[in-house]
Amino acid sequence: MRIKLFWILPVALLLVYAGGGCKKTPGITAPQQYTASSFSQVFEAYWSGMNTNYVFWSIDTTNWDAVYQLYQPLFAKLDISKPQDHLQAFQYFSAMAKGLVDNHYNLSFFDPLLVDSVFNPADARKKGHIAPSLPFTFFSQTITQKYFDVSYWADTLFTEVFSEKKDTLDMGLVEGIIRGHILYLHLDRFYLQHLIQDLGSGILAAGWNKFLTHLHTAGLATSLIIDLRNNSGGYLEDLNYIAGQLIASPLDFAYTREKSGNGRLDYTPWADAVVTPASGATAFSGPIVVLTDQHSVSMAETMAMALRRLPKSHVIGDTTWGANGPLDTNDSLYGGGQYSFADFGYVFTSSAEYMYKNGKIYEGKGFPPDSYVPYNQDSVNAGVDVQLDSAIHYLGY
Amino acid sequence: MSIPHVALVSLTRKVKPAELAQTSAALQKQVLRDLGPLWGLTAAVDAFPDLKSVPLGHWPIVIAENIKAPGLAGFHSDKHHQPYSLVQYDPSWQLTCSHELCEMLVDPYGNRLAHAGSPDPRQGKVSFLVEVCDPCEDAAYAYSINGILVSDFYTPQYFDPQPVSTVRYSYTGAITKPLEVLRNGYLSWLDPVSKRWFQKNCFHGEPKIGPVKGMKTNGQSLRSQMDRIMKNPNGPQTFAAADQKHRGIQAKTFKAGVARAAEWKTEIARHLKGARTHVLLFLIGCTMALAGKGQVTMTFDAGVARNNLLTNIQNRSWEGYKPGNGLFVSTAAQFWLGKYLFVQSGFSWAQKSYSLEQKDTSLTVLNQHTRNDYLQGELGLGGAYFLKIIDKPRRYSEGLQFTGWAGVYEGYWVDGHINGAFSNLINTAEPSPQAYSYSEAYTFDGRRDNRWEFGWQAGLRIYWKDTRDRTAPYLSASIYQSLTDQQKNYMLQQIPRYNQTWALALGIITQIGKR
Repeated sequence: MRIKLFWILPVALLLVYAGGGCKKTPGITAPQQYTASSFSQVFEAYWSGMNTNYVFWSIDTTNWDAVYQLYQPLFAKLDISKPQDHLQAFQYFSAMAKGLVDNHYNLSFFDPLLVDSVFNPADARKKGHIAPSLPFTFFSQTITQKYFDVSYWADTLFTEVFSEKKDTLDMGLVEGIIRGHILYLHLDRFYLQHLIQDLGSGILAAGWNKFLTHLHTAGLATSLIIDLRNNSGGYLEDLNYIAGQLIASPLDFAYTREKSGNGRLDYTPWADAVVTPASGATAFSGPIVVLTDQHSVSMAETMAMALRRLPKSHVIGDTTWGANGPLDTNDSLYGGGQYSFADFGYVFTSSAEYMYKNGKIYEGKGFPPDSYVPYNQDSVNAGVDVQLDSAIHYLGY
Repeated sequence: MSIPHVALVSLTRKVKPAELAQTSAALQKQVLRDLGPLWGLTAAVDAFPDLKSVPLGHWPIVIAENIKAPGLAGFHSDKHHQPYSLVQYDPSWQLTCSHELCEMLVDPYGNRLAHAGSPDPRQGKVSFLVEVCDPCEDAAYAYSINGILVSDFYTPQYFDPQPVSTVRYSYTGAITKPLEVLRNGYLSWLDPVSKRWFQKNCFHGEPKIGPVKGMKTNGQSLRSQMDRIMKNPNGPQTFAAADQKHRGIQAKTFKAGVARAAEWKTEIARHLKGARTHVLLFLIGCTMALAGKGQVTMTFDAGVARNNLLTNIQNRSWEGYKPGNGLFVSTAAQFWLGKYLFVQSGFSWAQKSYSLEQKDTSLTVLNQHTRNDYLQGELGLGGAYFLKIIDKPRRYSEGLQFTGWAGVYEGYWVDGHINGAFSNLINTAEPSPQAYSYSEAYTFDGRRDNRWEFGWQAGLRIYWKDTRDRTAPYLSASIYQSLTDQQKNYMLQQIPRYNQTWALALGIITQIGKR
């Protein structure tokens, strides 16, 4: 009997392990599944949602565990039935998020008492520290009248407001010729393809077609200025729609990676960010200057970075806003990004971490120009565009 | 990535090796935490006992006594134009090392210029010599790292055209606006119109601007020349005052260090005891198997492994883990303690695979197949049962031998590979989103990934045994259940991931020792 025990024991152990598939590991609840029954619940939903959905943990210097240890007891003391505690909660949320590097980041609330409260860490950090933005009239009037060749400026102003379903998408386009051979294009948003397809022929489509005509007229546009100053971004599809007109083969310019698990550092590998040539496009062989400023945001930065990868391109102006992570609302497709927590609030954040082709991540810092020419209020007041002047000078005119 | 390596070396015995090591650690912290992020650089700082120990390619900062003239201390470049610094040993040598280190890393070759409007209203745009510590070099603006005084330094925004109240112009914030020169500091520039060097200094109260004499175009770097020319008249006194001011911080740092050391001693002693036991067990197993007096058998097998990743992603309803297959190879020695009991130790190589896949079939873009290769050491205790089928009395018998064992194993992650696809956000060519497919070696993330795993293991082996102890083929099945997380404990509310690996193998067993 004792003999049998010697081998029965390991077999028994093996059988125990055979049940190992039932081994339970602790789980977490999705942030949407919490209820706003207490501020502790709301806090847990927000905090753990950040662990899974926020894409910049690899570079963010916020100590999110320390945030938990500091704010979890503070939220536990709040009473969700007291209106003043909702205001206090907003203060806490803002303090928790204030150092996050994602410059797209935005906290808004469904809670009726906070529905008008929004916290944007990048706005809070930059408030009072950045140069004013150039108004659209500076592009549509000052530049057209002072810089465009006379034969062009009179009919090169395109600005329009378009409505689409619930949202209003505004977009302005300015296009013209400077000094005979510099083709200039300013866009203040990137809804171009969307609006042209939505509205069909219209003033915006006419402006864009005119740009393409100028671009493809032999001997006319020997160099190009793409002015992305005060461009607040828009849809990614404009990358192909606009930059795709200047290339004949796919352009790798950056990488993105997404979240792939619950851990802060669970990521997919880096994927190539690619601009695909537009149908029938030919490579633009002349020099290209991209103008950027501190109000070149999101898609404007992506566009600048993509164009910078072209062989004869040069970026002039100021460092961009620093919100490079692409956006999408489908977290089941991209593993992270935007989420709502406990029916209380909504986190607007990038869906993927973004790294430029040179291996640097410019999120929170902004894409630096090759030639730094800062905003100059005195010049703007005098109707002089020092950044555009630099671009024209760089192009040899 | 190639990064600069800086060697801290003392030529004077007045600097104790422990002091040098502590200074090196403080300077390394300054580079990684303070200087690096602000200037976009990094470097490794290490202490060395003497110059001959400094590896090739390191930039030395040498602490010495009796430097012939004060102007010889500071930045230099050798005949190969490689940077080094000389630091005069005095009570403030650590602060000076920090000063030289910061300036060396921001401007390794001593000629870096920054361009901005001149502090002298009679001049236009000028070229400033980038010496990041000089405008704030006075010890009064130094700060403490690990109880050691280190130098303040200015940031790239120091040359901004306009002051902004919340912008950081120096690390400590002592400099509050662009081009500001603090007490006992200075700032030098070249006026391109007059082709002369100028300096703004604050050595005697009020800031003063004047020409700098002695700068030559002789091939010597600009900073080397400036260090030769400049001497701060107030250094020792202000250092003494600052040192006194930081004594309290140093005492508290030391006290905290002593307390933490006591905790570490206890903690480490606990681990050492455990580690010794573990190593000992393993050694005992190996030694017994190889040199024991009893019967020793060896097994060699190969087969397949099927691995489950045991974790919980219930909150991510759209995806789930599935088991994966890999290869398995093992060898082990069994030291028989009589007919029925043995100790088994050995090694195995197991490919532990699993997949993360999209549950929603309409979204088929996300999937990742992971294969991790582990080298495992094992130690266990087993028993045997012989089912006699053929019996030749007084000659031999044959039958089925069942052996089973259980024990512990420790695995070391050797390599990994991932392949799969996911939706590529920035590739908007139709169909959008494009799937990005990849197949590549896994990049080990030292912040998250745990290289070691430890757990239980058990197995069964069955073969036809001839009591004349001939070599025989066998079939074995075993299980490895990790008890340690695949990930380091790097965040709160971390969901652990455990490997559970089944292996089925064919092999041979042979006897290498006789009773």
